[in-house]
Amino acid sequence: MIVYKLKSQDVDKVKGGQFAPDCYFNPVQDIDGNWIISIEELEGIQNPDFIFLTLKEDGEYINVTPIEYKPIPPPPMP
Amino acid sequence: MRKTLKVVAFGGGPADAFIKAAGITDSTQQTAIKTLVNDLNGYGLWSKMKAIYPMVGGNATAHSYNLKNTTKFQIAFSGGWTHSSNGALPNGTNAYADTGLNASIQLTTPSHLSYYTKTNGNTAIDQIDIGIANFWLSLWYTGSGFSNLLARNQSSSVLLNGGTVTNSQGFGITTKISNTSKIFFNNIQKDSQTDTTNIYTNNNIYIGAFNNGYPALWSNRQCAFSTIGDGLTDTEASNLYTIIQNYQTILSRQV
Repeated sequence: MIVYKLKSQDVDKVKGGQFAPDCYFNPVQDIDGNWIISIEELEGIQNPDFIFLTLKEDGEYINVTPIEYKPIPPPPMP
Repeated sequence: MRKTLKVVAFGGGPADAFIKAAGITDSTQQTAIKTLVNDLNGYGLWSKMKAIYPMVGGNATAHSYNLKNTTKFQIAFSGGWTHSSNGALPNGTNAYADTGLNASIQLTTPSHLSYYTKTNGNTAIDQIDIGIANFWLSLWYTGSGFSNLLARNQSSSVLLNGGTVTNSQGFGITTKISNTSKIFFNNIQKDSQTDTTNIYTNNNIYIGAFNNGYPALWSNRQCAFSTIGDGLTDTEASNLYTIIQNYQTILSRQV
């Protein structure tokens, strides 16, 4: 699964930010320590404050990097 | 004898408040909401609910509202959700919904959780559909040697085990009443255990994952309805199934 790696300087801007009505970013770290958001969040952005994340140049995102998702192992059954 | 429920255009009060808050303009959806309120009242279940999430309207705002009281326990959707006429679909990666309902504060009696999904399946990673530590429901939990319908109901020691799952589509309820915890799926009791503990962790109940002090064990099963409330008797759990199945049928999204 492809997810979108945030630049380090954008992580705190994005965390908990409202990207659409009643929708909030939830960046999580992958096993390599990258902070990532999902395609649903990226493509759902309506808030002008976060449109910069969707900017492309020559068809490629310039402010996020698509990477294969490598999740952190889940916690044990609660 | 099971009642055959009909579509009733009944409303006022909470139904109208929900329709207005959620911006529901579709007449079928409005009828479904009004029928749902009418049926919950008719079966004596309305007063047992703390939160009712009908997941109708097709967008995050509509799905965020609590039918029981639109001014309380409005959901905040975080991460990757996809909203449609079938409900709210978490992505199984980082999506969770904070109900704002703190179990240790809001739930003072033995309680229930319910979750209706049209999704058949799970990922390879353990998934919980709703809950907090010691109080959660998973329609299909894989991991730790399980591929089962599982729940904990205010207990760190009793694990309700509904058996091996081959299809997770439908309506699951975990409920505790009179020191007995149970799990139902599609109107069939799947497990029952004596359980005298009543542990609530001081956390808000999440939908689409569970709240471990942080969200974890992400689900990818679409939420088409969910409730949090007082414990239900066997009859009440069965009636709730009948009501919700009628509601989903009106919306043409029943399983």
